[in-house]
Amino acid sequence: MFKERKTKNSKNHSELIKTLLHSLPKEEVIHEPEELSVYECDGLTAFKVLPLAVVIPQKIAEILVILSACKRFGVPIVVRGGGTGLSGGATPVEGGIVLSLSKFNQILEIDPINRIARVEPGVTNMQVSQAAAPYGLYFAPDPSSQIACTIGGNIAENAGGIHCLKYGLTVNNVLAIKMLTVEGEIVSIGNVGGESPGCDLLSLIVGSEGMLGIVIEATLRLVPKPECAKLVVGCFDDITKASKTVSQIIASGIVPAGLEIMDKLVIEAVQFYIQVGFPISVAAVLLCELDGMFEEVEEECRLVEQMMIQMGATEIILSKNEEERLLLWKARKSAFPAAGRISPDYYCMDGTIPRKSLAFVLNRIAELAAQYNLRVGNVFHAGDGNIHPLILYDNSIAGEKERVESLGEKILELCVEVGGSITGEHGVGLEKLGPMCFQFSLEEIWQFHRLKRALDPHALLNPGKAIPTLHRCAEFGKMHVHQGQIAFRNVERF
Amino acid sequence: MIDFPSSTTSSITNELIEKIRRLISLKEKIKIIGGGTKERLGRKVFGNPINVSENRGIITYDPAELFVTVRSGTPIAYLEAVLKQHGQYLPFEPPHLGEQATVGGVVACGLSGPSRPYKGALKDYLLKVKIINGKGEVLTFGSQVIKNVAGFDLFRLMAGAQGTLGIILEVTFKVLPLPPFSTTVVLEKNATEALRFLSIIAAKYFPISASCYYNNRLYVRVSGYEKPVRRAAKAIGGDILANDHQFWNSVKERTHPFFRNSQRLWRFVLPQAAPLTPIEGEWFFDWGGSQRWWKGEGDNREAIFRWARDQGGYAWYLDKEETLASPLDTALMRIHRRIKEAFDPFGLLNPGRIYEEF
Repeated sequence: MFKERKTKNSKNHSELIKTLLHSLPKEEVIHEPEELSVYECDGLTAFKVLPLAVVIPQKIAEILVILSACKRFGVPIVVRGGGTGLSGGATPVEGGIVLSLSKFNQILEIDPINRIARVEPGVTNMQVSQAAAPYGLYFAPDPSSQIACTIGGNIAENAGGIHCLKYGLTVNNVLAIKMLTVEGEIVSIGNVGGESPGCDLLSLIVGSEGMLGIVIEATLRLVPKPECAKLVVGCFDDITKASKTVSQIIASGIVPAGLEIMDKLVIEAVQFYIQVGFPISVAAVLLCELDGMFEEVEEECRLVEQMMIQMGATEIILSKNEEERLLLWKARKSAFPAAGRISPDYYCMDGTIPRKSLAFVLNRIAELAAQYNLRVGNVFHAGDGNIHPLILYDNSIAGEKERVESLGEKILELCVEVGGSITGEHGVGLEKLGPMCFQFSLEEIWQFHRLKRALDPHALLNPGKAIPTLHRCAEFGKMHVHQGQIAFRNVERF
Repeated sequence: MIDFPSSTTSSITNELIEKIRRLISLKEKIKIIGGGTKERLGRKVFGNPINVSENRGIITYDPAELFVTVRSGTPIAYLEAVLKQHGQYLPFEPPHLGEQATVGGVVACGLSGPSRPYKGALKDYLLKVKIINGKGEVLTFGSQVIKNVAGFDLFRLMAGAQGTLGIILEVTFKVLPLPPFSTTVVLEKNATEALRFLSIIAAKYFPISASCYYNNRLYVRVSGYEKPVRRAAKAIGGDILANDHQFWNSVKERTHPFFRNSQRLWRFVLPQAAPLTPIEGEWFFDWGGSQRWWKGEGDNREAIFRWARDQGGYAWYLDKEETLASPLDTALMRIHRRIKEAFDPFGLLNPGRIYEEF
């Protein structure tokens, strides 16, 4: 029986490719294995699947052809933007095709009067801000991959970045979208004015990891550039002190544009990579960027400096000019490449915790790391409690990768335990399907599935991502067993 | 973390849940009621009344962590008073529309006040929502932390869904410290000049926190530290408005003289710089020109809805008792109906509240 099904599948596959080749220009369909390998993963390289084909259409009409062909042959579609995602959101699905929107790369309109940008999904995050710059405006979300990541991907993953503490995530900065439903209809969702009748579908689509529709156009909010920005860097001999300073700054009412921590391991790696002149013995640095009108930046710099000293900072570096500010940020932005230099491999985690738990969680991570005999560096968005533990390892040592994954799961479980989330900005994708079962009950996961089915009844769009099957949660050992009873016995488990 | 003498215990919530489950098991339609202040904001609902207003009280408030979790029946005025004691507020300035207004009602109606274009909408401050869906399941979506991208954002979907997808039991908001200083300037401008001027000042980095236009006067509020606020107010120009708090409260609560005798009222939400509406009559602009109110019947409603659509926006018509929203196109309506089915398969919760179809 299994064999029969396989034959049927492969027949469908070859029929699909035939149909695609017949209806699209030849150069838009890639199906030779050697060419397909470029698309076998996104920024999460641990998961690799060779797609059946990759299509790179140039027109909406072509996407419609692809959609209808995939529907006919029951072949799933994974939409891909820049392929920079870190959770496997764009990893191909077994027996599915990849739909690359890279040719939809036009900025359709910059409207300085309404302060909006209307763009196609394949435009990169950076291109939007560059196009808006002549008007003194920019697009606020700034994920670290902003040179390469696309707006379509930002929307799918609800991307964040260093400055989202003050300026919000993608969901707070997208005003409207045009989306192709799986039925092939174009729907307009959202309103530049800020409110639409009916339910807030816009907030539902942003962050839905390409599982509910195909976004073909987005209208983005642009914001004016601040008059000035300054960076205050506090050096601490203890990461607990740095963490407590974070809580104090936020509680005082200051909303910094960015508030980041780097720990000793990361500082050492960075110093090796680029010379910024942090004191050698420092255990943690806290970078606090303040922006706005001149007077408020001046006032807040003074307050932050005071708080850092009070909390025991051993040294404070204040950016005197724009070059200095950018150099200090460069240190922060080099953290990942620097980690790559001190270790053959690293695994970047992404969880969120309440700020007050920062010190506790960091200490607990250090204990866990010791137990697992792995090194963990920490560089993260402290202001919003979004931690990025970097687990350093060597993939060539047998069993080390498995140990890393196990430690990673422990860390995410810890995030949920203290009231946080298993992902702050990277998304669930394929990577965090297991930990989803920590954060949500079976009924909640089941509700996600029902919602997915409401918009994509035949599970054609990025199936198997973001929401774990109930079967998986059962296997994960996280069934909500209460007094020996499994909740919702009658619920289907797949 | 602040401890509150719980005004109710979770047993009230449990009783409410049991009551709802009983009705669901009987497949009885449910009309959700809080303080009863927002009946006019949707279509009439017929069903067994479920009153959530006893389900009240602050569950957790941690000023240093900038979040608060409350039960849905908590009066919004009470919540705001508690936040104010700690120097904090809900930056989207929710309209209450009556003393009895509850947190659940404000969230269900997705109401944001004058600060909306500058500080964000209710949905931007919503972190977590606990609901009971139409199958009687108690579900929690979201988390107390700001950055959370696990699962679909079903908590934001509850903002403005008017109870059609679930009955809200608990809500967590992100809160912020009150701005230390605020002032409002008034400028003489006609409507066209006012819209153009608003675009110009919005493109500068001024700490504007509200703006509205009525009867040849443009009102702009700036909030933040005193020094930059004074500089921004001076650069914007005009005269300082005395008692500005009272003024903005009247805008937020729709008690400004414009709203007197407004038994028939049109509300438009449009791009800020959308052209003036080609209908004569008395106008009031809020949200920097995005939210526009017009008093009048409008001879041809279809034409008015279409005009709003052509400008890239939407319209709502409020008569004395209920509100009709811009019609949805077929595909969008189908999506709404399917989402409704995913939450409320028997169609029991506030049926027909936003549109007849779900």
